[in-house]
Amino acid sequence: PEMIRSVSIIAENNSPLYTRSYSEDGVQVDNDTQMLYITHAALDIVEERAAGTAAGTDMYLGLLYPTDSFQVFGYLTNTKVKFVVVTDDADVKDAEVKGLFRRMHALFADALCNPFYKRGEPLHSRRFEHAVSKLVSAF
Amino acid sequence: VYKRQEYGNKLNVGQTVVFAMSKLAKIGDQAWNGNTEKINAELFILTYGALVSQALKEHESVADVNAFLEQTGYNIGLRLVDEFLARSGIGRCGDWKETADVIAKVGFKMFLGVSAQVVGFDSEKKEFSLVLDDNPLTEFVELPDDAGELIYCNVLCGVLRGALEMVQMSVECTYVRCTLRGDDASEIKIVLKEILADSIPAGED
Repeated sequence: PEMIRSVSIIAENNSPLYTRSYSEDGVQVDNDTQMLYITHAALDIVEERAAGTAAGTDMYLGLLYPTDSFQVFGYLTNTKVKFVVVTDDADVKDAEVKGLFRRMHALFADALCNPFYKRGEPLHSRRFEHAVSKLVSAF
Repeated sequence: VYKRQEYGNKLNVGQTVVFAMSKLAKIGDQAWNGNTEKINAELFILTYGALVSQALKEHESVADVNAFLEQTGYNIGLRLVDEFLARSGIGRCGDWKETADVIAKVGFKMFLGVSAQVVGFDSEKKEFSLVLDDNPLTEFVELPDDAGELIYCNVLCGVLRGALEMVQMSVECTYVRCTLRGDDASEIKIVLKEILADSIPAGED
Protein backbone atom coordinates (compact mmCIF):
# COMPACT_ATOMS: atom_id res chain seq x y z
CA PRO A 1 0.00 0.00 0.00
CA GLU A 2 1.19 3.48 -0.71
CA MET A 3 2.84 5.06 2.27
CA ILE A 4 3.36 8.64 3.12
CA ARG A 5 6.93 9.26 4.18
CA SER A 6 6.68 12.93 4.95
CA VAL A 7 4.30 15.87 5.08
CA SER A 8 5.42 19.45 5.37
CA ILE A 9 3.87 22.85 5.47
CA ILE A 10 6.11 25.74 4.54
CA ALA A 11 5.33 29.41 4.89
CA GLU A 12 5.56 32.08 2.20
CA ASN A 13 9.03 32.99 3.30
CA ASN A 14 10.07 29.34 3.20
CA SER A 15 10.23 28.92 6.96
CA PRO A 16 8.91 25.56 8.07
CA LEU A 17 5.55 25.59 9.82
CA TYR A 18 5.05 21.90 10.24
CA THR A 19 6.96 18.82 9.23
CA ARG A 20 6.52 15.16 10.04
CA SER A 21 8.32 12.18 8.65
CA TYR A 22 7.31 8.55 8.85
CA SER A 23 9.20 5.32 8.40
CA GLU A 24 8.06 2.58 6.02
CA ASP A 25 5.88 1.13 8.76
CA GLY A 26 4.18 4.44 9.34
CA VAL A 27 6.01 5.14 12.57
CA GLN A 28 6.86 8.77 13.17
CA VAL A 29 10.51 9.58 12.69
CA ASP A 30 12.19 12.64 14.10
CA ASN A 31 14.76 14.56 12.13
CA ASP A 32 14.60 12.44 9.05
CA THR A 33 17.27 14.37 7.19
CA GLN A 34 16.62 12.60 3.95
CA MET A 35 12.99 13.71 3.96
CA LEU A 36 13.96 17.21 4.96
CA TYR A 37 16.41 17.35 2.08
CA ILE A 38 13.89 16.05 -0.43
CA THR A 39 11.26 18.51 0.80
CA HIS A 40 13.68 21.37 0.66
CA ALA A 41 14.70 20.53 -2.88
CA ALA A 42 11.02 20.32 -3.77
CA LEU A 43 10.50 23.93 -2.73
CA ASP A 44 12.56 25.13 -5.68
CA ILE A 45 10.37 23.17 -8.04
CA VAL A 46 7.27 24.58 -6.36
CA GLU A 47 8.50 28.09 -6.99
CA GLU A 48 9.26 27.23 -10.60
CA ARG A 49 5.86 25.71 -11.13
CA ALA A 50 4.17 28.60 -9.37
CA ALA A 51 5.88 31.14 -11.59
CA GLY A 52 5.16 29.08 -14.69
CA THR A 53 1.44 28.41 -14.54
CA ALA A 54 0.01 31.76 -15.48
CA ALA A 55 -3.54 30.64 -16.02
CA GLY A 56 -3.31 27.73 -13.60
CA THR A 57 -5.59 28.50 -10.73
CA ASP A 58 -5.31 25.01 -9.36
CA MET A 59 -3.48 24.84 -6.07
CA TYR A 60 -2.52 21.23 -6.62
CA LEU A 61 0.81 21.11 -8.40
CA GLY A 62 1.01 17.38 -8.88
CA LEU A 63 4.13 15.31 -9.01
CA LEU A 64 7.06 17.64 -8.53
CA TYR A 65 9.85 15.22 -9.24
CA PRO A 66 10.44 11.53 -8.84
CA THR A 67 13.55 10.37 -7.04
CA ASP A 68 14.78 6.82 -7.32
CA SER A 69 12.57 5.59 -4.52
CA PHE A 70 10.16 8.38 -3.68
CA GLN A 71 7.59 10.64 -5.25
CA VAL A 72 7.18 14.23 -4.19
CA PHE A 73 3.92 16.14 -4.55
CA GLY A 74 3.27 19.79 -4.06
CA TYR A 75 0.35 22.09 -3.32
CA LEU A 76 0.49 25.84 -3.24
CA THR A 77 -2.21 28.01 -1.74
CA ASN A 78 -3.05 31.51 -2.86
CA THR A 79 -1.53 32.77 0.36
CA LYS A 80 1.75 31.20 -0.77
CA VAL A 81 1.69 28.47 1.83
CA LYS A 82 3.29 25.33 0.42
CA PHE A 83 2.35 21.78 1.25
CA VAL A 84 4.81 19.06 0.29
CA VAL A 85 4.13 15.35 0.57
CA VAL A 86 6.66 12.60 -0.05
CA THR A 87 5.43 9.09 -0.72
CA ASP A 88 6.97 5.71 -1.37
CA ASP A 89 7.35 4.83 -4.98
CA ALA A 90 4.10 3.01 -5.46
CA ASP A 91 0.92 3.42 -7.42
CA VAL A 92 -0.15 6.63 -5.87
CA LYS A 93 -3.26 7.99 -7.50
CA ASP A 94 -3.22 11.66 -8.29
CA ALA A 95 -6.77 12.06 -7.08
CA GLU A 96 -5.91 10.60 -3.70
CA VAL A 97 -3.00 12.94 -3.16
CA LYS A 98 -5.14 15.84 -4.27
CA GLY A 99 -7.72 14.85 -1.68
CA LEU A 100 -5.06 14.58 0.97
CA PHE A 101 -3.81 18.07 0.24
CA ARG A 102 -7.28 19.49 0.31
CA ARG A 103 -7.98 17.94 3.67
CA MET A 104 -4.67 19.14 5.06
CA HIS A 105 -5.40 22.61 3.79
CA ALA A 106 -8.74 22.51 5.62
CA LEU A 107 -7.06 21.32 8.83
CA PHE A 108 -4.50 24.06 8.48
CA ALA A 109 -7.27 26.62 8.07
CA ASP A 110 -8.89 25.31 11.25
CA ALA A 111 -5.60 25.62 13.10
CA LEU A 112 -5.35 29.21 11.90
CA CYS A 113 -8.65 29.93 13.63
CA ASN A 114 -6.91 29.51 16.95
CA PRO A 115 -6.50 33.11 18.11
CA PHE A 116 -3.32 32.16 19.95
CA TYR A 117 -1.58 30.92 16.85
CA LYS A 118 0.35 33.55 14.98
CA ARG A 119 0.73 33.12 11.25
CA GLY A 120 4.29 32.37 10.30
CA GLU A 121 5.12 30.62 13.55
CA PRO A 122 5.70 26.88 13.66
CA LEU A 123 2.48 25.02 14.29
CA HIS A 124 2.23 23.29 17.65
CA SER A 125 -1.46 22.53 17.71
CA ARG A 126 -2.25 19.22 19.34
CA ARG A 127 -5.51 18.96 17.48
CA PHE A 128 -3.81 19.52 14.14
CA GLU A 129 -1.15 16.94 15.00
CA HIS A 130 -3.78 14.40 15.88
CA ALA A 131 -5.82 15.03 12.78
CA VAL A 132 -2.84 14.86 10.44
CA SER A 133 -1.65 11.57 11.95
CA LYS A 134 -5.08 10.13 11.33
CA LEU A 135 -5.05 11.40 7.78
CA VAL A 136 -1.62 9.94 7.12
CA SER A 137 -2.36 6.53 8.58
CA ALA A 138 -5.62 6.33 6.68
CA PHE A 139 -3.95 7.08 3.38
CA VAL B 1 -50.10 18.28 22.54
CA TYR B 2 -50.33 16.77 25.97
CA LYS B 3 -53.23 17.29 28.26
CA ARG B 4 -51.59 18.62 31.36
CA GLN B 5 -54.85 18.45 33.28
CA GLU B 6 -55.23 14.80 32.57
CA TYR B 7 -51.78 13.79 33.59
CA GLY B 8 -51.13 16.40 36.26
CA ASN B 9 -52.56 14.52 39.15
CA LYS B 10 -51.04 11.19 38.27
CA LEU B 11 -47.49 12.38 37.90
CA ASN B 12 -45.11 13.18 40.67
CA VAL B 13 -43.25 16.46 40.79
CA GLY B 14 -40.22 15.16 38.91
CA GLN B 15 -42.19 14.23 35.87
CA THR B 16 -44.07 17.49 35.78
CA VAL B 17 -40.72 19.20 35.62
CA VAL B 18 -39.83 17.10 32.59
CA PHE B 19 -42.86 18.44 30.78
CA ALA B 20 -41.89 21.98 31.64
CA MET B 21 -38.36 21.33 30.42
CA SER B 22 -39.41 20.06 27.03
CA LYS B 23 -41.67 23.06 26.64
CA LEU B 24 -38.70 25.33 27.30
CA ALA B 25 -36.53 23.31 24.97
CA LYS B 26 -39.12 23.78 22.29
CA ILE B 27 -39.19 27.53 22.84
CA GLY B 28 -35.43 27.54 22.65
CA ASP B 29 -35.42 25.56 19.43
CA GLN B 30 -38.04 27.78 17.88
CA ALA B 31 -36.17 30.90 18.84
CA TRP B 32 -32.95 29.53 17.36
CA ASN B 33 -34.42 28.02 14.20
CA GLY B 34 -37.22 30.41 13.45
CA ASN B 35 -36.49 33.90 14.50
CA THR B 36 -32.76 34.15 14.65
CA GLU B 37 -30.58 35.35 11.85
CA LYS B 38 -27.37 33.43 11.75
CA ILE B 39 -23.81 34.37 11.00
CA ASN B 40 -20.91 32.23 10.01
CA ALA B 41 -19.50 30.36 12.99
CA GLU B 42 -15.88 30.88 11.98
CA LEU B 43 -16.41 34.61 11.81
CA PHE B 44 -17.88 34.57 15.28
CA ILE B 45 -15.05 32.47 16.67
CA LEU B 46 -12.38 34.57 15.01
CA THR B 47 -13.99 37.78 16.24
CA TYR B 48 -14.12 36.61 19.81
CA GLY B 49 -10.62 35.21 19.54
CA ALA B 50 -9.39 38.54 18.27
CA LEU B 51 -11.05 40.26 21.21
CA VAL B 52 -9.28 38.00 23.68
CA SER B 53 -5.90 38.33 21.92
CA GLN B 54 -6.18 42.08 21.84
CA ALA B 55 -7.13 42.14 25.51
CA LEU B 56 -4.06 40.05 26.29
CA LYS B 57 -1.87 42.52 24.47
CA GLU B 58 -3.40 45.53 26.17
CA HIS B 59 -3.58 44.35 29.73
CA GLU B 60 -0.76 43.77 32.14
CA SER B 61 -1.92 40.64 33.86
CA VAL B 62 -4.12 37.71 33.03
CA ALA B 63 -6.33 38.66 35.97
CA ASP B 64 -6.94 42.02 34.28
CA VAL B 65 -7.89 40.26 31.07
CA ASN B 66 -10.33 38.03 32.91
CA ALA B 67 -11.89 41.08 34.56
CA PHE B 68 -12.06 42.85 31.19
CA LEU B 69 -13.78 39.92 29.54
CA GLU B 70 -16.27 39.71 32.39
CA GLN B 71 -17.00 43.41 32.23
CA THR B 72 -17.41 43.25 28.46
CA GLY B 73 -19.85 40.41 28.95
CA TYR B 74 -21.69 42.37 31.59
CA ASN B 75 -22.27 45.23 29.15
CA ILE B 76 -23.53 42.77 26.58
CA GLY B 77 -25.82 41.10 29.10
CA LEU B 78 -27.47 44.37 30.11
CA ARG B 79 -28.64 44.77 26.54
CA LEU B 80 -29.06 41.20 25.51
CA VAL B 81 -31.67 40.37 28.09
CA ASP B 82 -34.32 42.56 26.48
CA GLU B 83 -33.64 40.99 23.12
CA PHE B 84 -34.05 37.65 24.83
CA LEU B 85 -37.33 38.53 26.48
CA ALA B 86 -38.75 40.06 23.33
CA ARG B 87 -37.78 37.14 21.10
CA SER B 88 -38.65 34.29 23.38
CA GLY B 89 -41.81 35.72 24.89
CA ILE B 90 -40.86 34.14 28.18
CA GLY B 91 -42.68 35.79 31.05
CA ARG B 92 -41.65 36.03 34.64
CA CYS B 93 -39.99 33.00 36.09
CA GLY B 94 -41.88 31.51 39.00
CA ASP B 95 -38.86 30.51 40.98
CA TRP B 96 -35.08 30.26 40.90
CA LYS B 97 -35.28 26.80 39.38
CA GLU B 98 -37.30 28.09 36.49
CA THR B 99 -34.77 30.86 35.97
CA ALA B 100 -32.06 28.24 35.71
CA ASP B 101 -34.01 26.18 33.19
CA VAL B 102 -34.93 29.16 31.09
CA ILE B 103 -31.31 30.30 30.87
CA ALA B 104 -30.10 26.84 30.02
CA LYS B 105 -32.74 25.75 27.54
CA VAL B 106 -33.85 29.00 25.98
CA GLY B 107 -31.16 31.58 26.57
CA PHE B 108 -28.14 29.55 25.60
CA LYS B 109 -29.99 27.90 22.76
CA MET B 110 -31.13 31.18 21.30
CA PHE B 111 -27.78 32.90 21.38
CA LEU B 112 -25.20 30.16 21.12
CA GLY B 113 -27.23 27.50 19.38
CA VAL B 114 -26.50 24.98 22.11
CA SER B 115 -28.49 24.33 25.24
CA ALA B 116 -26.83 23.88 28.56
CA GLN B 117 -27.73 21.48 31.32
CA VAL B 118 -28.61 22.58 34.79
CA VAL B 119 -26.73 20.61 37.39
CA GLY B 120 -26.11 20.96 41.08
CA PHE B 121 -29.24 22.95 41.70
CA ASP B 122 -29.37 23.92 45.35
CA SER B 123 -32.42 25.92 46.41
CA GLU B 124 -31.00 26.43 49.90
CA LYS B 125 -27.76 27.95 48.76
CA LYS B 126 -29.50 29.50 45.77
CA GLU B 127 -26.99 28.22 43.30
CA PHE B 128 -26.73 26.02 40.23
CA SER B 129 -24.32 25.25 37.49
CA LEU B 130 -24.71 25.33 33.76
CA VAL B 131 -22.86 22.63 31.92
CA LEU B 132 -22.02 22.95 28.27
CA ASP B 133 -20.76 19.99 26.33
CA ASP B 134 -20.14 22.09 23.30
CA ASN B 135 -19.05 25.67 23.52
CA PRO B 136 -19.01 27.43 20.17
CA LEU B 137 -16.67 30.12 21.46
CA THR B 138 -13.89 27.64 22.01
CA GLU B 139 -14.00 25.74 18.75
CA PHE B 140 -10.49 25.64 17.24
CA VAL B 141 -9.01 27.37 20.28
CA GLU B 142 -5.99 25.88 22.00
CA LEU B 143 -4.58 27.67 24.97
CA PRO B 144 -0.84 28.24 24.86
CA ASP B 145 1.26 27.01 27.75
CA ASP B 146 1.80 30.50 29.07
CA ALA B 147 -1.92 31.22 29.28
CA GLY B 148 -1.79 31.07 33.06
CA GLU B 149 -5.13 31.58 34.72
CA LEU B 150 -6.82 32.95 31.63
CA ILE B 151 -10.55 32.27 31.59
CA TYR B 152 -11.11 32.39 27.87
CA CYS B 153 -14.91 32.36 28.06
CA ASN B 154 -15.28 34.72 30.96
CA VAL B 155 -17.44 36.91 28.76
CA LEU B 156 -20.24 34.39 29.30
CA CYS B 157 -20.09 34.92 33.05
CA GLY B 158 -20.41 38.64 32.50
CA VAL B 159 -23.33 38.25 30.12
CA LEU B 160 -25.22 36.19 32.69
CA ARG B 161 -24.47 38.65 35.45
CA GLY B 162 -25.58 41.64 33.38
CA ALA B 163 -28.70 39.98 32.05
CA LEU B 164 -29.86 38.76 35.46
CA GLU B 165 -29.21 42.12 37.04
CA MET B 166 -31.71 43.61 34.62
CA VAL B 167 -34.34 41.25 35.92
CA GLN B 168 -33.58 42.24 39.45
CA MET B 169 -31.21 39.46 40.43
CA SER B 170 -27.72 40.10 41.63
CA VAL B 171 -25.62 37.03 40.93
CA GLU B 172 -22.07 35.87 41.01
CA CYS B 173 -20.93 33.78 38.06
CA THR B 174 -17.73 31.85 37.92
CA TYR B 175 -16.27 29.65 35.25
CA VAL B 176 -15.60 26.43 37.07
CA ARG B 177 -14.55 23.99 34.37
CA CYS B 178 -13.36 24.54 30.83
CA THR B 179 -12.76 22.18 27.93
CA LEU B 180 -9.79 24.32 26.96
CA ARG B 181 -8.13 23.24 30.17
CA GLY B 182 -8.72 19.58 29.49
CA ASP B 183 -12.00 19.18 31.37
CA ASP B 184 -14.63 17.07 29.68
CA ALA B 185 -17.17 19.89 29.69
CA SER B 186 -17.46 23.56 30.46
CA GLU B 187 -19.24 24.62 33.61
CA ILE B 188 -20.42 27.99 34.88
CA LYS B 189 -21.57 28.29 38.46
CA ILE B 190 -24.22 30.85 39.28
CA VAL B 191 -24.97 31.94 42.82
CA LEU B 192 -27.83 34.27 43.65
CA LYS B 193 -26.61 37.00 45.97
CA GLU B 194 -29.78 38.99 46.36
CA ILE B 195 -33.01 39.97 44.76
CA LEU B 196 -32.79 43.63 43.92
CA ALA B 197 -35.69 45.76 45.00
CA ASP B 198 -36.62 48.48 42.54
CA SER B 199 -33.81 50.80 43.38
CA ILE B 200 -33.60 54.40 42.36
CA PRO B 201 -31.03 54.78 39.59
CA ALA B 202 -27.83 56.46 40.65
CA GLY B 203 -27.82 60.16 40.08
CA GLU B 204 -31.45 60.78 40.85
CA ASP B 205 -32.84 61.73 44.22
